[in-house]
Amino acid sequence: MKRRPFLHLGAGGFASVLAVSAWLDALSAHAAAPATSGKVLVWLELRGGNDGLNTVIPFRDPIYQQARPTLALNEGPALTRELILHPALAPLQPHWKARRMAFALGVGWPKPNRSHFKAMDQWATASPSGAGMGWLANALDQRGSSGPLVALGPSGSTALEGGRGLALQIAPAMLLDQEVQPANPSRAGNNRVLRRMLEMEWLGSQEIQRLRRVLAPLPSGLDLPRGGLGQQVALALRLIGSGAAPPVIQMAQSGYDTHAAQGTRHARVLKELADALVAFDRGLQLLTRRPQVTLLATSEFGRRLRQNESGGTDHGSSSIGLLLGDHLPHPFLGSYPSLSQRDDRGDPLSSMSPAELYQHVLSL
Amino acid sequence: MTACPPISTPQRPFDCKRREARALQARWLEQLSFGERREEDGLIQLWLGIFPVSWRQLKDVRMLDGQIQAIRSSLQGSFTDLLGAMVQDAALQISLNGLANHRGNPNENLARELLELFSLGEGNYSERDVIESARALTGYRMGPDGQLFIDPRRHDDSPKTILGKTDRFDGPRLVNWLCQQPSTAHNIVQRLWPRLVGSLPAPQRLQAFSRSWIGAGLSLPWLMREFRRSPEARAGRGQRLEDPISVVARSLALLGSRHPDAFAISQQALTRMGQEPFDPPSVKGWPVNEQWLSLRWLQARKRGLQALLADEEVWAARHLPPGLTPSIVPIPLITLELPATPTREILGLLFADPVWQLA
Repeated sequence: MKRRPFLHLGAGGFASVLAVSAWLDALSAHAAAPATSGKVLVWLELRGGNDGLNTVIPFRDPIYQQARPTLALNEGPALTRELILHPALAPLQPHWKARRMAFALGVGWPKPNRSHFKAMDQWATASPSGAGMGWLANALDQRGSSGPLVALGPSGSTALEGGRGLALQIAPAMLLDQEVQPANPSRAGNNRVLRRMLEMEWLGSQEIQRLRRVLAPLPSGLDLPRGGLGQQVALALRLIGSGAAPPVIQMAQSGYDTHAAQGTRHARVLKELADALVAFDRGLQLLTRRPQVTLLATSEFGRRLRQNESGGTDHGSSSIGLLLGDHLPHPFLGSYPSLSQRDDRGDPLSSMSPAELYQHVLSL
Repeated sequence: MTACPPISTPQRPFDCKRREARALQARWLEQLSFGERREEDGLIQLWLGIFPVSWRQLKDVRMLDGQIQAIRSSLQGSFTDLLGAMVQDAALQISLNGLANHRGNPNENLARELLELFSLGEGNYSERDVIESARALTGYRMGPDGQLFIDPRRHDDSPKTILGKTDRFDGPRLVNWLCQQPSTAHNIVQRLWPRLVGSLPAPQRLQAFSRSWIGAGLSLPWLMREFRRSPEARAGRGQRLEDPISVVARSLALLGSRHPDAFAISQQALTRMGQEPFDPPSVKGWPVNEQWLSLRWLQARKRGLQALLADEEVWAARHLPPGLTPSIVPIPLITLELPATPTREILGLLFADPVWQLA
């Protein structure tokens, strides 16, 4: 029987709760069995437009140095003779050397759209129009998987929506904080509509509590960064180790929109990212029974080549993708864009489209 | 962005139309949230749910502006005026295949919905009445200016018998005749009541209310005033689940942010909440009140409003009131006590509170 799609249930609110139930029942049933089949794809959205040029840095290129009088970096962990990592990403270098990390270079749309909103739509749908089914939902449909697709990022993701698979948005707090409870339906008094709303949310939360019981314990000794991303990583690991890992998990980190005072702000978000990824990989090593995992971190666009007057950079074209996982045969995907061939706004041309990057990641 | 060819171009890219629809939606949302005629526009949105047309059905989405204008100019008149304007509205006609209704080859789509949804209501007419009404509505064509006219060669001018009366019915005469039927007043009141008041009252009450409306000449201002003043409306405050569009408009108005992202996020969120503007799911319009109760849609409402609040550029463009007073909600909130200072955190609680979804 085909699972009723959670996202397409019209009138029957309780029916959608039941769909969640069915999945959770499956989770409980499988909890005892070793689950090594299936793969988990984790998509981490770096929101705001990560400065690719200062993430994997062409530090020897005079064009780079000239365009960024105060923001150019000259030192950092070396990847190749020409490329270094931002110093805040230094903790990732050993993982890259151990072939547990890879970098996708020059990722962006042929005609970059510099609106966050439009660009995020394009990335979510793997299409320049920004319309259609989410790319992760579509990928699961292609595989004939019913999901679920679990979004841990604070505002969910359209990339998980529109397919047949069950898409759930779960705030880490919903699973981790005992206190977070929807209002008791009795608070509605004689208000019938309010009561039905509260009942629906209440039942949903009951199911979340059941989910909480099958979660794997968090491996001990992890050094998770404080803040939202660390919490998402912790929950992702516990889902991955639960014995019935969801095939798709989405996470999000914001703070990359560095229009001003980029030096310190970019270093801060990259450090949080590096710490989170190190903890995630360490956690994967410690989980004894888990499926194969690939994490892809992308951002809606990069920044302008030329820095602005506020010590920052404005919305640009291509950026860097980060991959982490069990099966990464290539240390680099694509090629670093030439800084001498630029688009009409003076920014590097992309060498790989997001859709191509997705294709590659899905083939791993 | 590639330039779009003129509307008249055959095989015009769908993306062009979609872009025009998005622009119309954003403008409409801005009007509903910040416009000087917010209240009137809210009423127009209500009627767009009664006379629903999807932009997808139209070659030229600007026809929806025409429909809005036609509703606006009838709001101070009677339901007979409004129904007459709708039957002659290009957008509604096209959405119900009205222009394909030819004397030699009648198309009954518009006639059937006119009787079932826009006037008498199901069970109050015969199949014969549908066929005869379709004949009355034959012959509409669109002029080069986008206005409809009757083409005598396509219009069936012979007598028709509708609801027991034989006449040379055409569109306006049919509308007049339908609006003289008590069942029309009853059906329209029955359709509007859940949208404006809440759960339907006892049948006798509905009958009495409809009779009073007939006594008031089906006046639309009378109808709106009496809905508002009804004891049921006052007793039922906070017991009706509001439309997503109204909740979003209310949230935008409170936030006071007219940044383009605010409308873009709202549009996307509304699609997930089940109410993309100008894209009703069927000729019955959108769900109403409790029909909106689904976990998916409820989650989308909360998520959408939080996404609005989370956007830095939207937040930077905010114009908040100095304080949140208890009068901004119909009944006390569950998770938050008012008055309160509108910090981002407090607004997060307000937008997540189930009561924010009620009217």
